Order: sequence, then C-alpha cells, then structure tokens
Amino acid sequence: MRGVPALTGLQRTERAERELFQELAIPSVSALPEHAADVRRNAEWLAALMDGMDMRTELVSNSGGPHPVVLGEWLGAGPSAPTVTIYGHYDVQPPDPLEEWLSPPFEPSVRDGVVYARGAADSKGQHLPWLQAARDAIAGGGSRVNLRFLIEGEEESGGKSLATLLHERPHGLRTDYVVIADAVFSPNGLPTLVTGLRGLLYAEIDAQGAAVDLHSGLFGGVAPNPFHTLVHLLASMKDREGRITIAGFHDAVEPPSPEELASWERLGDSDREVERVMGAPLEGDPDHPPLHRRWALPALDIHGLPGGFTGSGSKTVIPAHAAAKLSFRLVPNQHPDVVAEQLRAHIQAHGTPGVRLEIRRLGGAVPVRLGTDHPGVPALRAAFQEGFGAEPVLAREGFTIPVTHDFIEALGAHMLVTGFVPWDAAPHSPNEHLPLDFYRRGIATAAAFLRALG
Amino acid sequence: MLDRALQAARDQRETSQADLFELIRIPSVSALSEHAADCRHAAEWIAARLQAAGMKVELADVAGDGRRHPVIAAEWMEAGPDAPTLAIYGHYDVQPADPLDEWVSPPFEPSVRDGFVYARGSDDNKGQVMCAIRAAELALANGQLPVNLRFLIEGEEEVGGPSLPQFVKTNAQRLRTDYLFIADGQFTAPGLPNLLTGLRGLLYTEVAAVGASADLHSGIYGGVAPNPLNTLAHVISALKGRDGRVTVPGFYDGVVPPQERELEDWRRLPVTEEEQKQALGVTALEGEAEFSPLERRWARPTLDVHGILGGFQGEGQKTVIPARARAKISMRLVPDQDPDRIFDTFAEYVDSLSTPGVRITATRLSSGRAVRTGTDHPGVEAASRAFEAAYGARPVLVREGGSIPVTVDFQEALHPHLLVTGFGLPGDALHSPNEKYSLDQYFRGIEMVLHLMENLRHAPRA
Repeated sequence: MRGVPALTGLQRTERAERELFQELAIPSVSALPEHAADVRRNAEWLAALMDGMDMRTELVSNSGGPHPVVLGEWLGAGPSAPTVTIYGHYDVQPPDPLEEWLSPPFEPSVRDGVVYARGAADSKGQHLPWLQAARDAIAGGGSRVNLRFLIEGEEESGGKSLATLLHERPHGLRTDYVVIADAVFSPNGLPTLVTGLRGLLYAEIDAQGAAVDLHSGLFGGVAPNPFHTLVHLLASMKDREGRITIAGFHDAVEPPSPEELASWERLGDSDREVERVMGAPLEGDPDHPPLHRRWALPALDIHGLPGGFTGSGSKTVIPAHAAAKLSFRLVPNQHPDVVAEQLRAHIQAHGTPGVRLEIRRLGGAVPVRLGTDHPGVPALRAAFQEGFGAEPVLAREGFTIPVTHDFIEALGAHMLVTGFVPWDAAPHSPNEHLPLDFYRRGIATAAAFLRALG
Repeated sequence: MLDRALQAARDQRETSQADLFELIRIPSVSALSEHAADCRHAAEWIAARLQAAGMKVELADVAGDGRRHPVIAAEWMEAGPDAPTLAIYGHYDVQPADPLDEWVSPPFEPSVRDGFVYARGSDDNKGQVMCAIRAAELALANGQLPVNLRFLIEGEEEVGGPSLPQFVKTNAQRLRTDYLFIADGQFTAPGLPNLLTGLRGLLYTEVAAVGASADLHSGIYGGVAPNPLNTLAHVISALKGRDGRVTVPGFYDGVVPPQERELEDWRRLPVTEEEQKQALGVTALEGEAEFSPLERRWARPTLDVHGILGGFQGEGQKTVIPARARAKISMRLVPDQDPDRIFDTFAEYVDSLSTPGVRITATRLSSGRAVRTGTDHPGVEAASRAFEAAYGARPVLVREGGSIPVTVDFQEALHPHLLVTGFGLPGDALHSPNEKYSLDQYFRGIEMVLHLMENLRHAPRA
C-alpha cells in the first residue's frame, strides 16, 4: 500500500466487500475431488491478497493432506511485541441440495444487505475481517503486534495438513495468542467467547448380507437385509426420546462450570428461536435443557444410509450391502478413541446372524475446554464493545474445530475462539448467508482487538 | 404340426438364439424414464415378429399419456370357437441394471459363458417369453395349430404399471381365454420343473419423513434437532422385529396356511437350508424361525426395506442433519391378505411411530394380491406332459415368493385356468448384476410350449 494514496473509509468498505465476493465465488469444496483445482485457486487467491499487505506468504503442503495451508506473517512489531495468530479455513462444505438454493451457491448474491453464498458464514466471512484489519494496521504506520495467519483448506474434510505443520514447526510458529475465527453469535444476538467445543467421532458402519443383491420376492423371508440389521442396531444406540444408550458412553461427561452456567443466564430462553430457525419442534434427551444438549452434552446423528435402490419408482431389491454414516458429538472429557471402542463393542452385541458388520472411522476430534484467565480476554471484551456495542458471553460451541486441540498441543498459546457470524447463518445448509453489517462490524472489532493488545 | 415344428425348433436353434440376443440388446428398463423409447422399441420388435408369424397384432397405448409402455395383444383364432384358447403372458420390460460396476460383461450386451447367456432380462423375462414367441412362429409356419392362440405382453411388470390390467379389464369381453400360460419363474432344481399353486402379492410403499425446514449442521443442532433418519431407524426397526415378525397391527389377519399336501411336497424338494445359504452367500438365513425356509419364502408374508434416501450418501464425512428422508418399504403378501386394508393400517402405524419433530407420510406405489391357482384343472396334466416331453421330468407343485400382479387381474377379468411356471434355473440372479439364463433351458422351453399347444388340443374350455 505504500506509495499509494490512502483510501477513504467508504473505499475501504467497498474493497473489503469486493474481496469477500471474490473469495465466495471460488467453489473451494475440499470434500469433492473434482474441486481440487478450485481449492488450490482459493489458496493462491489468499496468498496474493496477503502478499499485497506486505506479509511474507507461503503455501505449505505436506503429508497431512491434499490441500495447502496458507501461511502469511508480518513480524514488523519486533521480537518483544506479542504475536497474534489468526486461524481460519478457506474450504467449504459441498453445496448440495442445489435445488434448494435461491441463488447459485458460488455466485454471491446480496439481498436486503445480506450476502448469500456457500462459505459466507463458514468461514470466509470469518477470516476476511481479520485480514482487512491486518491490512489497515500494517498500512497505517505499522501494527504494534506481530501478525500471523494460518488459513487451511481441509477443515470440512478432516485433513491434517495444518496439524502436521503445527507439529513440524512449533518454534517457527511460536505465538502468544491464537484467534480461532469460526464461532457464531448467540441466538439472542450476543457475541460469544467460546469456553468449550464439542469433539467428534464420525464413523461408517458397513453391513454386508448376501453375496449379491437379491429379489425380495424370491428371498424375502429368509434373506438377511442389511438395512433391517442397521436400523435395529441404530435404534439400540439412541432411544426414541433421544437418550444415547451405549454402555459407558456418558461416564466421562463433565458438567459445565459455575462461571459458564452464570454467563448462560444472559442468553435468555433460546428454545423458541431454535425451533423457528429449524422450522420444527425440538427433540432430544428430555432429562436435560436444550441449551445443554447443544453445548455441553454429547449427541448422536445419522447422516446417511447409503445402499439399495433410491431412484424414482419401485425396485424390489434386498441389497447385499448397506451402510450407516453417523457421528457422535463429544464433550469434555470424552475421547473419540474411547467412544470408538464403546461403539465397536455395542455393534458386536447388536447384530443379526446373517449380516457382517464392520466399522470404519472416518474422522475424530477431541472435545476441548478453553480457559479465560489471560490478557486476550479483556482485550476481546473491549473490542466487541467497540465493534458491536456488546460484550461477549461465555458460550460453548456444539461443533468441532479440530485444529484447536492441535494449537493447544503444539504451541501452548492462549486461545480465543470467537466469531463475527449470526447464529442462524445456515452453515452447511442451502442459502448460507452473512449480513454485511456483521462483516463491517467484524472488521472494526478485529482492528480494535489488535490495537488493544499492542 | 407338432413333429414338423419340433424338428424346425431343433434345426433353427441358432436363429432362436440370435433372435433372443436381438431382444436383449434393447435396454427396456421401465423404471427409468430415459429408457422410455427403448421400451417402445422392444414392444415394436415383438409386435413385428408376431405379425410376421401370421397373428393379428395390436400395440395398445393404454394410458395414452406418453409416460406408459404399450401392451402387445396378438391373436390367432382360426382353430375355431370350439377349440380352447391358450393365452400367453410375458413382459418385455426389465429391471434397472445398477450396480453397473458389478457386471462382468455389459448388461445389455449378451455374453455366452458355459452355456449361459449373461444379460439383464435374459431370464426375467425376455428369455422366457421368447420361448413362447418362437414356439408360435414355428407352429404357425408348420401347419394348423390345434388351439386358438393369444399373446398379452406388457412393459410395466417391473414397475407395477396400470396399462395391462386396464387393458384386460376394458377388453375382457373380446379376450376370451381358457388357459393362461405364464412363464416368469425358475425350475426348482436343474432338471426339475414346477407348476405354481400360489404366488405372493406385493404392497410397495414409500415412507417420507420430514423434520426441519432445511438441512442442519449437526454440530450446532445435534441434541435438539429432529433427524428424519434417526426417526426412520426407529420406525423401521419397530415395523419388523429381529425375529422377522411384522408388527403392523392385523398384518397376519387372513393368512391362509398352505395345504398339508403342499407342505409334504415341499419337504420332499431337493432344497436344503445349507444350499439356500450357499445360494445367497450368507452364513445364516434370517426370518421367522418357527417356519421352514421354504415356507417363509412361499407362504409367509414379509417386509423389506429397499433403500433409504436422504442426507449424505457420498464418500467421506458430511455432518448434516437432513431435513427429510424417504424409505422404500415393501411387503410380500400371501393368500388371503388384503393389500388395501394393510396399506391403511400401515400408513396409520408408521405415523404413530414417529417422533415429535418429524412428520411421516406413507404413499402406496403399487400393490397386488397374492394368488392361489387351482391344481386339478386339465391344463395341469397338459403342462406336466409337455414338461416331461421337453425336459424329461414332470413338474412338482410349488409356490413362488415373487409377485406377478397381473395374474390377479387376469383371474378377475378372464377367469382362465392358470398355468404358472418358468424356464429359468435357480441362481439366475434376477434383478441382480450378472443375470443369466441357460440356453439349453431356452431351446427346450420352445419345445415345451409346442407340446403344450398340442396337449391342449382336446382340453375343455374354461
């Protein structure tokens, strides 16, 4: 930016929005191999943006996965100044079901001040405010904190490139604070500082019955049907009311702290709001309040039951094989390895004689608990006060940010998990969106945080 | 007629084989709209054959809405009003070929290996209906037929379509039929043909489950969101116990147990449980343990899920709570269960099994009653002697677990004596990858139909 006349505030806002739309237009779907080139293009786009901010940039590829980590750093504040690392991810979820999008998922469309596109909330609209704030800090006479960005391309597909990088270069990446820009506001509109994240165990149970698909007329009544075995198994894992019934599953679950419970009082009753956004009544374990079920208790969901015939019309096939894709959301102090063993034992005890069941682990993440007794917390409180006019509540997130655990392990830095996205922004769903007002205020909040730390 | 026609059948086996292959190459998949033109092509091909043989042929577009497949109705009535009329039923449509990657040779390119032709439709039903088509051609080319002959061939058997039932009902007056011959099955064992005394019916449904208004992230909503797949797992697991017992209220009302004579026959059949396990490639058969495996396949109703649509079916992980899901569920019915009553109860029952946040709706895709055929009409002896002449063995009386829904419509509209049998062999992999059909069975099947025509010469009218 040096040698270029300074931009007005309006011009900066326009540029920030233009850059948001540019990144949203890249279909960086990491889970689908046909989008590999797009994922790469997104990484290169980010690196070019950081280059333009006078950062040292690097696309890091390693054995951890197929997609590079974008590393950008500006260490001009000197070795005695604190270093802030911003984490984000540039990959996005697959956009299907496509027919439910009102505008194409990779053509950002602004309606009533809200931009609609896959990745708007999760999470291109999360790291870009920090990049905008960093540019302004560096260009405006130099930031008083050292800055590092680590933006990965495998968050949605469970890759390990960033984790590998963190464990390979813990000294080169030494940092005082890590900001994980991936959380959402509370349903009643308050910013959040996250004190705990649920973990994950994602598994596929393969069920093999006969050697080939069979005609249900000829063999119905004697042929093992892997679907029936699977539904009996699945029904035995969670009862109709939502209680998970696997032996030992709840043993390690730790209740929320008194400080968290007190902060959650500020949230009010969000149940009706959750129902409104879902468009359906709440379900789940009646022994615990819904907020606890979303944040502090484990969950089990079936994501798909592939196999057999799902086309239009009728085909009377007894499939030779079927599968169940399912995941457990885990809470402190559960561990995916332990739950995987419990699941294995449960499956062994709940099969049927003619069907072979095998479990494949597709992903896992350890649940994490985050402390609030470091200087980053008051700085963030003040920054949100400036950007959004509200202090963050101590919240938890129900989802996984697997890399949080790796940051803690490898770098031991103070963690700040927060974000600039409203809670009902439809991440992973059709018509994912982000109000542009949140984006602008996010930029202001990020800028205030960097000033407050320096 | 008979001797000359039989001789011609033996002399022209290469032609018969080439004809069958031509028909197999037409991918007439009735369930998939992109194959509609292929279905018509198959119908026109058969119609042209029967016309060339000297029959009066009608290609009827019954529904006339362009989404249905034509019925072929052909007749040759020159044996006169006192001679019996033999009608032959078959279907030219086939099942979808998927999963394609499991086929050793392409499904619509007939490949001969060890005396079998491998292709979709080779057994079910092109290879069997072609036995009768070839027999009619050879008989008409070699003298006066002893019976009146009629073909009623449809293209919607695999989808439970309405065209043939509607055609038969509307035209019942002019479709005079005394004996109805249906070859759409398999021998009990190599060298052991059968005649059917009963067929199971089918009630095919789709159960839709709707939860949230859009797909949800399981991290954010897991623990509070209704999940239609979780609910369907509970619903389906409640529909049929691990013991194979269907729990739909009143489901077993009206079930008529097989006659002791049938059960005796079945106990004598050379089919062991071990062989059935091997045929299926499983370590254990499942189902109602208090009934023998054959009884479970032939005389007991059951319920199976065929597929569950919804959520993420691809490779890898996607943490979605789907907004909606759908399960394809069918029930095999036995005499004298009532599909209408069972569907109504089923729809109410699945709804009652739902969870608070999920709405469940059952839709009927098709249904057909189970059939009991008589075992003592004159056609049974005529067919038994025809099998003996062509294959060297008289048929055993068995039942069939599959449905030929149109038998119900034939029975109600035309009241014929039913002769339900088949020329396939066990292990022909119907509806599965690598479906196959024995060419020897095919050639002998042509001769069997020729003998049947001759044996019905003096048979009384129905």
